[in-house]
This record gives sequence, structure tokens and C-alpha cells, in this order.
Amino acid sequence: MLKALVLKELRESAGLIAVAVLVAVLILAETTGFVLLPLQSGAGSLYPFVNDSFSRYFCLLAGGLAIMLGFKQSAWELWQGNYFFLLHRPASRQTIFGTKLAVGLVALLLITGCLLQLYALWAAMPGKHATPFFWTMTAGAWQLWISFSVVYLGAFLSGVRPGRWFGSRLLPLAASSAIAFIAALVPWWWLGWAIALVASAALLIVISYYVEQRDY
Amino acid sequence: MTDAIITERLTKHYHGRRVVDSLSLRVPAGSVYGLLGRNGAGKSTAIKMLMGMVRQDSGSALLLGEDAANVSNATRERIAYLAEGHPLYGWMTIGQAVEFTRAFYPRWNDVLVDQILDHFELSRKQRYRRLSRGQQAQFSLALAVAPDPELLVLDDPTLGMDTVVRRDFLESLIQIIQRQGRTILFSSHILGDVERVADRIGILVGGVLRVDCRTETFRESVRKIVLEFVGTPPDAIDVPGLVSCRQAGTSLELVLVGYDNAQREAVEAMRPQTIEVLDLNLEDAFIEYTRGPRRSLPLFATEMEDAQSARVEGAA
Repeated sequence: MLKALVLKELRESAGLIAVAVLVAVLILAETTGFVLLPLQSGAGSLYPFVNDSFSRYFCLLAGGLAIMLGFKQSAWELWQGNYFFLLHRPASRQTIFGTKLAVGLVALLLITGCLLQLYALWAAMPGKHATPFFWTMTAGAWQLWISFSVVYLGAFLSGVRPGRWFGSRLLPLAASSAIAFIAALVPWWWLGWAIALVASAALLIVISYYVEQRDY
Repeated sequence: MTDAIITERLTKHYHGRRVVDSLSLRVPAGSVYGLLGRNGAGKSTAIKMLMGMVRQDSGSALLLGEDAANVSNATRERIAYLAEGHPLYGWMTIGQAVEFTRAFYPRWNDVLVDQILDHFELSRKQRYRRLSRGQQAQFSLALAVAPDPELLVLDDPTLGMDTVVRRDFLESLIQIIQRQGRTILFSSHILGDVERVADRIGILVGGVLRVDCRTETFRESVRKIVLEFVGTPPDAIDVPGLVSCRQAGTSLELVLVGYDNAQREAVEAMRPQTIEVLDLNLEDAFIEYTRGPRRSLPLFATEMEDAQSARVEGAA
């Protein structure tokens, strides 16, 4: 049963995941100076994790993927009316939605985490750029990475939480984005992680409440 | 006989409007129950409450003896539900949909699914979204019956189908009923569909269950009385069980539930020149009944059956 649910979620999100992987490859190519497309400069980052365009590209990819994946897995199915089929299967709603969230979070963190790790590995290679590199310099980027899980959960909650109009429906996404912003920018990495993890746990509890209580 | 479905004063409001109003219903195990009503009468909401998809504001519902809002997985395996429009993943092929659904059930009749697919010439490679509405309905029914459920709940299963496809679907349904003797609750706004398969009907009007009786009882109960007057017919009509009243020139058409002595006397008191009593077929009876002014519709069925059975018991 779990395997069937996981495969379904992966199949439904496959298009989005494929596009995200493609964009991640392009970001990696652009920031490491590897020319894939004719219009690329091929310059690469001068000072990785300190003064580069990676963070900006990373935020665009991770933010876009988190929001689209969150909505795709929640509101899309609701809009298609498929919950009437899915939720009548003999499996608890916690199992069904827990599988959705696990697949979504793993996909988001894996794609963005791989991108980040590969960029860090490139930055750690000798002779790739003319600036010093220490692994501790990546702490801020990993802080940014984990904070996007809050955005994903906020988007998912916006998709499952009933709202009378767009403004109130998008409230969880707006609030979670603000929390993610704080988690990403606090100067201590451990505090950023703590904020992101606590906010994620709180969002999971609220999602769990709504999937049980809402009308479909 | 036990009841597969029991609801007690089930009520639901949407945006301040009472969509289902104190629905008290009993569907005996092994029966085929047709829930009728016009669009917006509350049929789908009532079924969604039974299936735990919508939370009731008040009242209770039991499905195979369990609270409908918290049905255990073991009991859910024994209940099939076909929602309106037969929702299923359009990107799945028939084969993928079968595999996906089978993963949830320990008991699954592959032979039956193959038989139905063969019968309707459906290939496992066809995508669900490429099927016609009728084929989608047939395939959804195959998925629903494959785990051998005791209770089937179908929400307007023939919605949007043309007459031929609808007939085919109902034939399949009849075969399933005959083969297993399952309990079936299905909603529809097409009376012909219900007439073919249901042995008991309920009619929802404005969220209120106005009729709950055997199909024949309803057909035999609703009558049209045509009164011809010398001059203008009277404005004030006080006849028990009046469903609707229409004036055409010097004649007055009354649709009544039943036509007993009290009603006959009330009609004669209006001093018409002639009185003609017409039997209505089921469809006309349903149309007249559901078209009538909501507030004045008599709640007749269960009370009448109770009264009849009481009379029989009294005579015995």
C-alpha cells in the first residue's frame, strides 16, 4: 500500500521534479563555469558562498519548487476531485497525507541538497577559483536549504486548508515564507535550523488537523 | 434484518443554508435503496456525510455498525463508494489503476475485473482520461466490486450518460446485485434508473427526506384529482396531503398523497361538478412531488407505512 502511494506521488510530481532537476543542472553549470548552453558566460563564481549568484538562483529554484510541489500535492488533487477516490481507500488519512508529505519533502530536500552539495564540492576543489574556501562557509547555505521545507509545508497547508478567498487561503504560505525568511537570515546557523524545524513540526500538526477535519 | 446504514437527524449547513435537514434514514441490509431528488436537493452532501468526506453539523450516521465519520480500515474494505463523476487519476492506464487500487485490499477478485474489462472491451493499456464517460463508469464499478464489498454507495452514477450507456450501466448494476445480494444505496435524479433497480426509495426535497418507502408504495400513493367547476374554482384549498394545485380555466388539478375518505370529503366539500381520479406513473408522481411547494409537501411515507402496518397488526 505504501509503495503504491509513494509511486503515485512520484508519478504525479515527476514532471515538476524533472523540470527542477533540469534547472538545478543549469544553475550548477552557470555557477561553476561549465558551459551547457550557447548564451552562458562560462565565468563561474569568483568567491563561492560569500559573493556569488548561487544563493539567488538557489532561492528561485527551491522557492519555486517548494510552492509548486506543495500546491500540486494538495490543491491539485482536491480540484480534480480525486480525494473522493483516494480517501475512501482503507488507509488512514494520516498515512495518505503523511506519504504525500514525505515524498514532497524528500524530493525538495534531495534536489536542492544535491545542488548545494555539488556546488560546495566544486568550490572545495583546488584550482577552480582564486579565493579561499572552508566548509564552514557553507553553513549559511544549508540554513537556507532547510528553511525551504517551511515554505513547502506552508504551500501544502494552503492547499488543504479551506479558505473563502485567495487572500485567506494563501495566509499559511505567506506566514511560513516569513518564518522561513527569518530562519534563513538569523546569524547563528543552529538557531536558523531550530526555527525551521519547530515551524515545520507546527505546520505538520496543523496539516494533520485539517486533513482530518475538513470537508472534501 | 439488520440495517446497513442508519442515520439519525443528520444535518449539514453550507454558508448558513441548511443543505441536509435532520435526515433520519435506515437502509436494510440486502436492499437496493434509491435516493432521489432534484439537483441541489442534498443527495450528494448526504452521501458525502455517510462516506466521511463531509462532517455533519449535528446528528449521527452508522455504516455497517460503525460511526460514519470514523470508519475503521477493516470496515472500509467492505464498503465501495463511487463518487459523482467517477473521479480517478486521468494519467493512469486501466492496468495502473487496477494495480494501485488492489494494493489497498487483502481480498481482490482479479477474475471479475478481467471479466468486466473483457465484456466492455477495455484494454489495460488505455488511459483513464481517454475513456468515454460510460466506460469510466463501468471501469469504476469494476474497481468498486473487485474487493467484494458488502455495501455499495453510488452517488449519481449515471450522471451525464446518454440513454444507451445508462441502460448498459444499470444492467451491470443489476447483475452485480443479483449475483451477490449486496446492499446498495445510490442517488439519482432520473427516476427511470431508480425504478429499474431500487426496491425502496427516499426522496429529498430541499434537504428534507419527504419520502421513505417501497417504490410501489410511492407509485400507488400519489394521485392526481381533476375537478371541474361550473364557475371559477375556489382559491382556498384545504385538502389533507396536498402536494400541488394547478388551475386551468374552470378546472382544478390537485396532486395528493393518498386518497382516503377524509381527502374525498374535503374535495367534495369544494362542490365541483365532476371529480376525476387519475393514477400517476412513477415518473409523473416524482415530478409532481418534487415540483410542489416545499413547505407544504406532506411527509407521508414512513408514517403511512407505519400506519398501514399498525392497521394490519390491529386486524390480526
